[in-house]
Amino acid sequence: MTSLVRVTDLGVRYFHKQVVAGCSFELFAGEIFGLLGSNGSGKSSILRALCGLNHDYSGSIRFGNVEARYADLSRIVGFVPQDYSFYRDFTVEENIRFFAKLSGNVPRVHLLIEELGLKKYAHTRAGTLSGGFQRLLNISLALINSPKVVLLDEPTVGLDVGMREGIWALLERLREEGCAIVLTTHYLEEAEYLCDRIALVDAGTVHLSGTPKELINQYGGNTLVAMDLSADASGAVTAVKAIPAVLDVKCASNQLSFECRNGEVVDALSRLNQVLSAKKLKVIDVNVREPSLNQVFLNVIGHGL
Amino acid sequence: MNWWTFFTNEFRFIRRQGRTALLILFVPIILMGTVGPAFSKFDFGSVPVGVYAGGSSLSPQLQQLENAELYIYPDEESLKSDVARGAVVVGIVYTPGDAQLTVYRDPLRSIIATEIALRVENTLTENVSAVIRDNLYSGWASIRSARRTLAERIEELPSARARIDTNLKALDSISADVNSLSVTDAQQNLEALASGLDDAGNYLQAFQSSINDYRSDVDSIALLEAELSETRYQISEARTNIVAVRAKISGYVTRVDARLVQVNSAIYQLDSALSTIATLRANPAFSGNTDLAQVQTTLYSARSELASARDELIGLKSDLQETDTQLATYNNLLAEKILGIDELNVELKQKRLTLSQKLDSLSTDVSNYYSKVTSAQAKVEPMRNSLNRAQSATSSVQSFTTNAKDSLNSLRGDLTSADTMMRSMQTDLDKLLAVTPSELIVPAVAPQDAIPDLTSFQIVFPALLGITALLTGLLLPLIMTLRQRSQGVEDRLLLTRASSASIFIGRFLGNWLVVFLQLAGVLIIGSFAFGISASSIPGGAIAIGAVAAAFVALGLFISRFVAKESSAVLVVLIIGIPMIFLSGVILPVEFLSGAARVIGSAMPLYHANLAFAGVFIRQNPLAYLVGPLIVLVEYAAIFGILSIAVWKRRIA
Ligand SMILES: Nc1ncnc2c1ncn2[C@@H]1O[C@H](COP(=O)(O)OP(=O)(O)O)[C@@H](O)[C@H]1O
Ligand SMILES: [Mg+2]
Repeated sequence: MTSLVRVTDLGVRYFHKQVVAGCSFELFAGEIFGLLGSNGSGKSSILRALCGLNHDYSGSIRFGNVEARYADLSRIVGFVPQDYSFYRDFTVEENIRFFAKLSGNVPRVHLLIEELGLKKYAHTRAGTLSGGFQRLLNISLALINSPKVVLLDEPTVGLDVGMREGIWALLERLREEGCAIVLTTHYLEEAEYLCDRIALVDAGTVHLSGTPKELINQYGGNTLVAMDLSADASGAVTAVKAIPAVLDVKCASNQLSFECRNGEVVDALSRLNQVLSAKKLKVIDVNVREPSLNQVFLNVIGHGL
Repeated sequence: MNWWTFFTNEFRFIRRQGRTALLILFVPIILMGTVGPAFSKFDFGSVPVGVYAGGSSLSPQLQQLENAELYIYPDEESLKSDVARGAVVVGIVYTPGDAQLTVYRDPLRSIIATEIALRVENTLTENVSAVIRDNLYSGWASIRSARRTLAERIEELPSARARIDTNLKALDSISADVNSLSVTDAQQNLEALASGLDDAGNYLQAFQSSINDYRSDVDSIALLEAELSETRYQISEARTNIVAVRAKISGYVTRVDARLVQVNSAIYQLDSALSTIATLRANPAFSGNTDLAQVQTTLYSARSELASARDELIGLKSDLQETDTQLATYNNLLAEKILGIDELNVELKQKRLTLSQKLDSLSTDVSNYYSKVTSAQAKVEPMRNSLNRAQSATSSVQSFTTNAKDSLNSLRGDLTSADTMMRSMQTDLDKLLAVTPSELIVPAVAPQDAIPDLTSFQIVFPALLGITALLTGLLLPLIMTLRQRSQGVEDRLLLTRASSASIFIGRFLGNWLVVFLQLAGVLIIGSFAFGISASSIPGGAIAIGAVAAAFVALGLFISRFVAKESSAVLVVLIIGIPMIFLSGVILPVEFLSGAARVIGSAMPLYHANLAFAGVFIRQNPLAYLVGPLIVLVEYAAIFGILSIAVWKRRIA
């Protein structure tokens, strides 16, 4: 994996308000990096510094050997702002053509329109498009120069599932083309599903980064198992407690609940089955709650998303 | 060629703004349609004019005043307050025959008010000149005769002054004479004399009393004489006594001599007794020696006592003899004294008699003198009274002369001031005479516009065009820029390689073109519909181009500092309204105070107005407009450069 961008100890302040501080991470070609954090945690601020919109940052953002502040990022970075940024009264094609002209990349206009499935709307005024297509247009304007690094600020907020998945597919395609993609989100599923690595952002700082699995395994805690049984289970409690991975068993007449060490849930459940069948107890309902990124977030940051 | 891209893009953007663009662009043109006809006729038809005729009927000339609605007022105060309130444009106070025409102008409509005031003045002075001329000529003749009379009177003045001077001199000599009378001296002398007389009287009286004293002294000399006679008698008696004493002394001497003889014989007896004793004793056979020795001693002491008694008797006898001699001498002396006393007494008597006589005659003299002094004293009082009367008489004469002199002097002063007055009257009259009556006739006021036959629309047009250019020139680029920013496009532009200069130039050209076209539209409507000269269109187009450039550049510059589209109109009003007031569009900049005038004359709108007025009203050739046009282009350049410089400025 080639490292494209290295961010070290990034800090951003607006006037006297320190919004981002001590933020460090690295971006590699062909991966989707998710910045996961609640509203106001500083995600957008990080992206604006990364894309070159804000030169007034501390620490360093290095593209290879060049500091972002001094680099011409217009051909390297594509930035998709959180809010739409195109001429509402121009057609899709007019918008793309205008920005393509500014980059001397007019030949890509039609290609891009086609690639993004905007062809049908090429001559529709951008402001009249549905939300999903406006967002697509917003993304497409960042892709005019085929950038190596694509930064997307909450690209799927407020979209229906179909549109969201379309955008996910687009991002996966870009990943395959070898782009480094950074997206900010406060959707856990999005981060979990789409991102190769995620970073937890809170109060302007990256607290943790790693693959979602790693994070969940490391910081997600135990799996919670709760079941309704056919009869009173108190007789089975001792046997359940004896199962190696099981912790903190609770029983209230027909209801049995316990925690189970992460990764050993399957094994524990098969053992439990044996115990239950020995006691002639039938499972009426079972609810297994595996640890999620939310749990990770809760455990690490102290509050949920 | 990015700027071209930006230019076409901006142009397209403006086109796509639909209603907003239409509103900005066509409102001024619609305004033309409404304002234009309103201003098409420029006269004073039915302008309200207030008149106060001072209680008499309105002058016939005023009644004929053209284009005015006359309102007659009952008094000047209400007329004045109605002008101040704006109910009438001008207030005229004029009674036929008045020398003065008072005109109250509404300062807010002073141009119309001044025009009407001029017309009123013209109407009132029409046909009056001839009457004035006739009056002037007759007046001139009167002045000349007055001048002549005055000269005569002035010539008489010196002789009058000489007469006064003579009288003054006479008064002066009278005053001197009276002064030389010196009654006061006489009074003082009289007083000295009176006191001298008093002294003399006193002295004489004192003298008389001393004479009396002397007389008693002289009388006491007679007593002295009697005493001397007494003394003489006593001396005579003393002499008799002395003689008796001498006789006794002589008896005493005789008795002493007798005694001496007795003593001497006793002593002799004693001596012989003693010698016997001595012989006895010398006999050693004598047995009684010792007793004898005692007797001897006793005898010896008796003999010495007898011897001293004898010596005393001898001394007594010589003392007696000496005393007798002395007494004889005294007796002789006393005899001489008696002789002296007798002589003295005779002399004293004589002297006393002469003194007495002399004192008597002296006393008589003193009495005589005293009576004379008394009679002199009696004359002093009447003299004093007459002198007092003389004194009051002189002072009244003196005050009379002083008063007379004062009045004469003031008369003289009056004559002098009359002189200067008459002379100044003379020079005034000379001045009047130096002017010929024809020179005195005031020319009738005939105001003419330097550029004739302007319609009010033509006058308003440059201001209309300037304000339109200001509002749309600022508002269009401002709103277009803010709208693009709100659509997030500016952030995206920052991420491209497009330079600030190309962005500015493109945007500037796009907006400029639109504003230019709009102003051109206004101009063309003005030209076709409202009498703006078609020949001014080429010059007008150049002026419009420069004005649009200045305002569009300013608008783009302002857009860097305004965050929201909703505040755009407010910002344009905040910048535009002061500019409209200060730039001479509504009132000429000459109405402004010094600093404000300098500021106003620096504003782009001022130069826009200069350029437009120059092209459309004054029909100036382009050379005249080069100044304002250069300033406008400079403004465009300055704001352009500033906009490019602050392009990267972030607006939170
Ligand atoms: N231009 C700005 N000026 C001042 N404060 C800002 C600005 N932009 C963002 N902030 C503040 O910085 C913090 C982080 O904002 P942001 O980076 O937008 O967070 P996120 O994208 O995670 O919601 C917020 O508290 C926000 O209010
Ligand atoms: Mg954000």
